[in-house]
Amino acid sequence: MSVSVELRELSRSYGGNVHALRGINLSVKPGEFVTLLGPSGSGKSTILKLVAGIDHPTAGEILMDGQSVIKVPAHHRSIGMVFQNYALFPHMSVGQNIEFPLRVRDLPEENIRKRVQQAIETTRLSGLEHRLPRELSGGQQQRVALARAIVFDPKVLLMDEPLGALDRHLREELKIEIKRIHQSLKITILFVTHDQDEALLLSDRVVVMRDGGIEQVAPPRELYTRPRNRFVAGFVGEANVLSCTIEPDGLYLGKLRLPGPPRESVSGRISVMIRPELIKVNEAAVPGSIEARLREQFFLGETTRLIAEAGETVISVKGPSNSLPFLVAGQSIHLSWQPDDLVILSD
Amino acid sequence: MIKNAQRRYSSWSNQTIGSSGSALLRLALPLVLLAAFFGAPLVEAVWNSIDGLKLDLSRYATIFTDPIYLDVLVRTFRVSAVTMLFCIVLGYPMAFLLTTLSRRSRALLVVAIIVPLFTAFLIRTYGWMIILGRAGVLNKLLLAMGIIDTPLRILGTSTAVYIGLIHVLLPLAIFTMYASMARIDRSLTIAAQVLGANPVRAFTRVYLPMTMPGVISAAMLVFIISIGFYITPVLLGGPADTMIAQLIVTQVTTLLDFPAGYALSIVLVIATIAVIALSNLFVPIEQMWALQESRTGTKRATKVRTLLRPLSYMLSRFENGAYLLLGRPDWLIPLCIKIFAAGIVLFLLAPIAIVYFISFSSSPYLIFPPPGYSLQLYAAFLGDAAWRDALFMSLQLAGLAATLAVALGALASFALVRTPFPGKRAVFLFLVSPLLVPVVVTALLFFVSMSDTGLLGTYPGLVLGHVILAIPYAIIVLVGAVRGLDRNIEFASATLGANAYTTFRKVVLPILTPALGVAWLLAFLHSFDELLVTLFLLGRLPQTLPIKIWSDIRIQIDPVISAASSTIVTAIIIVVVLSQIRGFFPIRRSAALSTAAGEAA
Repeated sequence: MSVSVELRELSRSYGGNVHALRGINLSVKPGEFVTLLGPSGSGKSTILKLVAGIDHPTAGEILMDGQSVIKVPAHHRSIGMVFQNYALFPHMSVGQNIEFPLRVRDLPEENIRKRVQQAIETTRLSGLEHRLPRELSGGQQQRVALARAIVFDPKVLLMDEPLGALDRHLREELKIEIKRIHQSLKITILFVTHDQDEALLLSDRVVVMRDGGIEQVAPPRELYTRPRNRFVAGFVGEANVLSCTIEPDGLYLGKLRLPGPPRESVSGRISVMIRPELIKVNEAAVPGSIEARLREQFFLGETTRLIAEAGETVISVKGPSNSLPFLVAGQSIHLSWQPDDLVILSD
Repeated sequence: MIKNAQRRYSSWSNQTIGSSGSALLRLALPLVLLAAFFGAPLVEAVWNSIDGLKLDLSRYATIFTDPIYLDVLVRTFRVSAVTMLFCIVLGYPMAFLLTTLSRRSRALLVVAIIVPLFTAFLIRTYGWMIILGRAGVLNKLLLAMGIIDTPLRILGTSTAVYIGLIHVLLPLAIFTMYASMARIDRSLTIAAQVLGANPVRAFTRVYLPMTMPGVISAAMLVFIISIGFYITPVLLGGPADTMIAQLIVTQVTTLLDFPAGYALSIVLVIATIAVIALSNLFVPIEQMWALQESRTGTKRATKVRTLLRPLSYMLSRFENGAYLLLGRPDWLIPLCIKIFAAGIVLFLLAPIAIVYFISFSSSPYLIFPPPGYSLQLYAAFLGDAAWRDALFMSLQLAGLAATLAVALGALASFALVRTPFPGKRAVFLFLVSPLLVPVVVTALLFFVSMSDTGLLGTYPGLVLGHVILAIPYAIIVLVGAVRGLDRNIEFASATLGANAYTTFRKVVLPILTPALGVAWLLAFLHSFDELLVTLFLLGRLPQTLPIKIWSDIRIQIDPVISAASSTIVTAIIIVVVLSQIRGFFPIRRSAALSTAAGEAA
């Protein structure tokens, strides 16, 4: 049973001056996987704490299935939460940790045993029931935290950088596992991370946050191809952000006319963005291309990265190694792209 | 809207312990007790020592001009300084050795140091009396080996006082320095060597400066405990070895000259505060108990190093010379440290071992070596109603005091860690001040305030005194433990459906149990060993065990004391060994433990 979560004008400040959150509005559909993505201090963890009820907003509303839960204490909200450091009870075994939420609800013994067994199977923890948390590896601790958070069929699952403390290999493995669990339980998930790969892989929608506010809410693909502003463009993926001027006949980077017509009829200065991998490198000029000088090139195996200078502007280009022409640092190259790939940023 | 939110906020915060506004109430009881029986009489003592508004400073003038007083004053500081120096010099290699040992050997060495630490000063001093006496163990040994012809006179001289004081305070110094050394990253000295420093230089330039906070803390603790020490100088020294604490006791109990006793106490308190303030310039006082991360390389320390730069060239020559002398062969220094450590352990355990040995003597007199072996002294100890009653009185008193102190200390610790309020540091220092002020002063203050309130010579008064003395131990252990408590664990419990009470009972309490156990044990041991405060407050109440031992030692060195002591020490050894096996005492907390146990003179 999954529910919708709605945040209305949600704010949290400390001592009147420090604003951790400024009027957040967000609507999460039942069963949706929404990721809060942002640098540290952007307020994403604060949202989780407010939804869980372990911190309280200074203003605003939190609705679950349309009902305000502001006055409901944490232990009555029925929300599962996986903490960044897992927060496993150090004095309890794996089994005792997992059954804790069921025990405090005084469920019948039979029911507890069945549910714990199920959660242990879902998270692949069989055989570890009697270990203490400190006897487990980081990945196993993470699974216990997950099992404990889902065993009581919470309405919503909150995850606060659950993969942050793990090494790269384990992270990959657990990402896929979390996705699988989401699909099998069909639970509403709010997931916090500062890792864009996690956000893109896992989410139905990504919320990019900065300084306690929301910069953009969009599905992963849209977020990547159509970032709204300079911050989102730079935070999700790699971006060439170019400061241009709009003239009646087109878009100019300094004196160079860029491929791609301005979509807006305003004139003046404007920022546009082009992803490095969408730029095509030509040895000779083609229609609509701009000339640049190749400063450096780095061979990275599968791909090769080029650093080029077009006038004053440095442009980064990334392409499959086998399809790039042979180039020498210092030579002149011509860059082109599909006009539609140029994104106009709002600031 | 905002008002509304604020109200909600406070209702939310009740879900975790110690965060609500009412948390300040948790501090109220210990603060009131301390203010009534410690703070107020201290002010009264200052007032009376100068005859109030008359501002009569003549008593202070006397202390600093009368040769008798002056003599005692100078001796007290000299003895304390020498003791401090020895404790640091002997303790530093031991603390260093502890950091290099494997887990198992370290546990063994820790037991060998903690057992003396937790053994009552009275018992340890009694052991030294047996060893150092004219017909004592040491003289018998030396005579038998033909090293001397006539027995040496050691007992009753300042040598005996030094031996006794160093023995009492060395474990404290070792653990305090170890606590700071254990936090130092060993790879830093290796880095220094990779950067071209020889091992001696890597030690003096990198390791030594980083251990300075620990050394300063240890030196300060040893010094402030020494200047207020009572038992050891009285029992091991002669009339020429009188220290301030004895003088205060004499003034108050024999001469009944309270204002003079106050004046002496104030001098002692001021000296203590001055020492603490001085060391606080370099190391924050909370750091002494490992309650705060150490901050090596403070600006002040850097300044000192800059001033010493001219000496640097000489130091370099010295380091190179030392390396040439000691560096090869490279097993030499480790071997020296091990031999040295064996000597120190022997020194620490000797008086306790002797007490054990004597307790199995078949003679009703204190004779060494015993003419035969039997359990007759144990039979005498357990068969004698006076000893039995004293034992039960002590167990009951210590149990009650420890339980109350831990309960009050736990509440106070939650408030101290979790509730933000102005002046928190001052409140903390006030609550632990009975630990820093010499016990003889505390005893005098209790005596005055209890007689004013009619509690003197009553059981509640005695318990109250012991509780106030034990609260600092509880607070120091529990503040560390509560600070280490991960807030997220309580939050997790809340999200999993547990209300505040369930969270406390099922999550917080079990996690804190080891720390509560340690705190209770320390408070119990302290109260069980307590002599001076009990002497002042007992009145006509039944004797406690330390009082019984004390009065018996002063009449004659009754060997039954050895049976009593051995029984107590055995109990301590069992607890210490069990705790080491179960990891009950995390070694990081040893600084707190040792400070706690180190103050009972």
